[in-house]
Amino acid sequence: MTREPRIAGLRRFFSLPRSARTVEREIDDEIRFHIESRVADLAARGISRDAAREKALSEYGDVMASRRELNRLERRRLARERWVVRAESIRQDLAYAARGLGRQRGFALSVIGVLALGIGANATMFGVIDRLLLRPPALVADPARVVTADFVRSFDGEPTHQETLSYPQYLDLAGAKSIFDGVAAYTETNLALGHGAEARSVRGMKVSASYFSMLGVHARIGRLFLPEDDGAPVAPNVAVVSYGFWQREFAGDQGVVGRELQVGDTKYVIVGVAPRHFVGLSSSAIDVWIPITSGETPQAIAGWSGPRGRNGYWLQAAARLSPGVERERAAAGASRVLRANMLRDGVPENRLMESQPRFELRSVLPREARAHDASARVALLLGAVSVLVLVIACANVANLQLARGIRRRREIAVRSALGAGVGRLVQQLLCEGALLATLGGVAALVVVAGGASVMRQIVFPQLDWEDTPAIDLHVLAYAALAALAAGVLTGLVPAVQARRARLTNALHGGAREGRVHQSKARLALLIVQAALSMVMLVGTGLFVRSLRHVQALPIGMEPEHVLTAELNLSGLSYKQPEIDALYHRLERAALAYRGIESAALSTSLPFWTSWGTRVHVAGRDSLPRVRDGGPYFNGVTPGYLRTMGMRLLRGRDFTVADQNPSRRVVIVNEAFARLAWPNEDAIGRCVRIGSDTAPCADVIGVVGNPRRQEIIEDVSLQLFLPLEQAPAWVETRTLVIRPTGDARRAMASIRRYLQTSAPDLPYVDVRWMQELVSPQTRSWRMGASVFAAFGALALLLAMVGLYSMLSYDVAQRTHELGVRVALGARRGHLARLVVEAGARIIAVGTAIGLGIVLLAGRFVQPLLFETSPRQPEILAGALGVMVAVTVLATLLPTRRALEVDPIIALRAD
Amino acid sequence: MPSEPMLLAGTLDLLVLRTLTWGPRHGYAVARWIKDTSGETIEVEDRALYLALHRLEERGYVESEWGVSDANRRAKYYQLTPAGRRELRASEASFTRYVDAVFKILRASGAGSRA
Repeated sequence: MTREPRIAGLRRFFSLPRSARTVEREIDDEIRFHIESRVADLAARGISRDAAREKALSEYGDVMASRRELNRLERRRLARERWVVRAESIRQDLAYAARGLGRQRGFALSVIGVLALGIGANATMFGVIDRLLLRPPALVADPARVVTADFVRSFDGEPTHQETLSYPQYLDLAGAKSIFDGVAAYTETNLALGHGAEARSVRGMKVSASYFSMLGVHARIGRLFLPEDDGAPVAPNVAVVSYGFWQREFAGDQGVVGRELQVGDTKYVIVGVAPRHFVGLSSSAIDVWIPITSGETPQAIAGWSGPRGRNGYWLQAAARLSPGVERERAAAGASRVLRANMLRDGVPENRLMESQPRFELRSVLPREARAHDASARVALLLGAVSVLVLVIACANVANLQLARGIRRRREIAVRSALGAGVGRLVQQLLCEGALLATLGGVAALVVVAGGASVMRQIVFPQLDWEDTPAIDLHVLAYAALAALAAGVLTGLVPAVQARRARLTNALHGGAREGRVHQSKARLALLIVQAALSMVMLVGTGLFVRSLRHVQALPIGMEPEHVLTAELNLSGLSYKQPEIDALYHRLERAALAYRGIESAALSTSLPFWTSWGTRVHVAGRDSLPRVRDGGPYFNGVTPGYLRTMGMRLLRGRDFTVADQNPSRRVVIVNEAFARLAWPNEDAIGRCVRIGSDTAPCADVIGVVGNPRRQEIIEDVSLQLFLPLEQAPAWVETRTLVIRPTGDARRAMASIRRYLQTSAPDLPYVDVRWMQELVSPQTRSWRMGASVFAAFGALALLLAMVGLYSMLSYDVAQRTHELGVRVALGARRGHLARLVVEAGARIIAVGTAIGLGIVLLAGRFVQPLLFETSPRQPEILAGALGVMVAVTVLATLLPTRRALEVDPIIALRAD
Repeated sequence: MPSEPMLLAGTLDLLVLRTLTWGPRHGYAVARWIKDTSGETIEVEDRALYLALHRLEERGYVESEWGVSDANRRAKYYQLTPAGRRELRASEASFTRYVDAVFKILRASGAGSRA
């Protein structure tokens, strides 16, 4: 038996899969051989050829069916073989690319670095957007049906929304039974754990017992709250702790249920641990949940739920819509209950007609809940911008690839001359792109880890991060996607170029060939980079300027120099006079401390609490209303204005003598003075506070217009009275402190001092007042810092891109430049050649960028503050930076062009 | 499906593999060997045999290449691969065990239930 050469083996060796046609033919050949061999055998035994043929066929069975089934089987095998071959060729290409990149380490590292920054910027922003806008509240069952309730009233037809409700309003919601599957109330509060100097403050939340069941959350250990934990009139002292708290405080002890937490004088029994990552509807981490009614006296609770309690807004409420009930209908139904109960509680009907009190329900899904959140909107903008950064990075890489591609043209030509098809060449280049992008994507994770920690501090300082990795699955998936896109983009450019390259030309010519058709794609990429850099520069300018404007706003006080101290009274049953006595003791201690310049007590704290009242000005029927409402009053002790840095425009501050309740005095803000006594002196005028029969309070001073709740708000009418003359129903107290030095740095020592100034003081919460204000500038801070980072990156990439192209050009044109010099071209002319090439690219790119800015400006406008997207100084500044970049990028190549030695350049051939 | 009237499932594969232990053969030779050796007892359509051969090739138990037959014609030769050899040993053993078990039952005296 002789055999043909082992074709199949050869085929495998060359990775050439058989074609479907060959397979079909081989099957036919095989069957034919069988039948004919059988016929021949039978004929040899003397059977007639026809009979033999018939017998052979019948022994074989259905030939057509056999062909079909064999073909089916072989085709399947063929397809699989092709995959194997393709996989093998990709493996080879990857190995080839890896070897190539290993040889050109500089190129590989710069590409990986650029991609890492581009992908990293993207994934970082995606992480922020994901957390702000994409993720429903963690562990909440069917969050689409969960809503939070806003209380809305109209003043002069203008609705005002508030997120905090009163306890009776929560009961109103809970009374709308057929509408909601569950209603819960909650409020965040610090809880002081432990005693005396050992005490410390943890993040607590008081919730109605329905809270967890309404959200559909299940305990990690033990149980969560049950209906009886609301226990009328006083709830049992039970607590649920968070997973993080359980880990930190109890080292994850399984026997934690039944252990006690000392809060003030009250012992809370831990009944369960909430699941990991659960924060409820809050955006900040919580350590301990306790029932809203626990530790409260029955009288207190009766006060909340009675008619008086209607005006104390201190709770947030959320509800789960019953299946099939729409939000609008639910809100209407709940509002009906609200109005009916207000009537029942004695609110006059005409007041209801006037103020149209109602509930509005908002979805807790972040897309809706944060639709108007400035940070979320800026994050979205920055997310879009980060895509531009990636585009710039890809353009840069493509540019590097092109530069290399020109050098590789001969290699590619040789490969294709050796028989590699265009498809295979493209595959090879795509493999290289994929390899680079993968490495870039991995390196990007380092960028993300760094970027995420910065963004966390800017955007989510209030969240617990210890058990959330910077790079979670979402971010990882996004980074992979971005890397994939980058790989295709960066691999495609040289691939397309390879397709188009006139390969034979490359083989014929020398090294200098090919410069002629190099330019267009690279030029386009550089122009795109310049344009996007311009866009980012302007964006940076706009946000930096907005931030500066916001920070320069006169807010009428100096929160950065002020510390606030509050006694944590949770779990303690002090009566108001005792509380006042404690605060006065605290004030005296503070005033005696050497590191404290001044200190005072107040009933309200700007950006935190404000109390309104009725005020009558003698000689006027009523004050005209102002948009921001009021008048708001603040009961203070002498020194308050100085401590807060509020400027006294006229008159004097309170003195100890003013504390005498028989002689009433008041300080008004400028807006109040202007409104009540236009063009007249306010000092000495009479103001009746509370009702028109109240005794006269003499105006003794006028202060500026300190802000009440927000950095950006309309001016409100404000009054300051001696603390002793403030209405008795105002029970809130804050000690404000102005340390002599840096307030934030003094915080810890002052807290220690205050805490130990008297034995058995409740826990003293000391905070830097600036922390109440900073969240309001967060969106601009985020915009300014991220835009600046992106802008710097984009600019750097554009500059490097331009530089590398120009120096490559100069290197390629050494010969030409040498000839020019030899022919007597002046050096200045040579320099112009290079500079002009660079300047033209930047000019075109900048012009396009400017166009984009002018067109897109109005979308950005709402995110800015007192800054027009067409602000000429900003545009001019960005132009200036672009010019500087051009100069920097052309400097070295120009010098190199000037240094061309005609003799060496010409001898090179 | 092709008819394999006299054969238990999988037996044909076993027979084909066995046939190839003596060296490469084309399909016709395999068919003849099985029929002749069994004294024509095993009647199997050639179609089923080819399906078995191709399937065994797909599984990597045999490989094929085109060669020239004794009659000087182009024919497709099948050859056992090392994997095929292992498979043959394994299925031969399990088949033997199975047949032994069947025999044991068929020859049992039937007295067991009374004892």
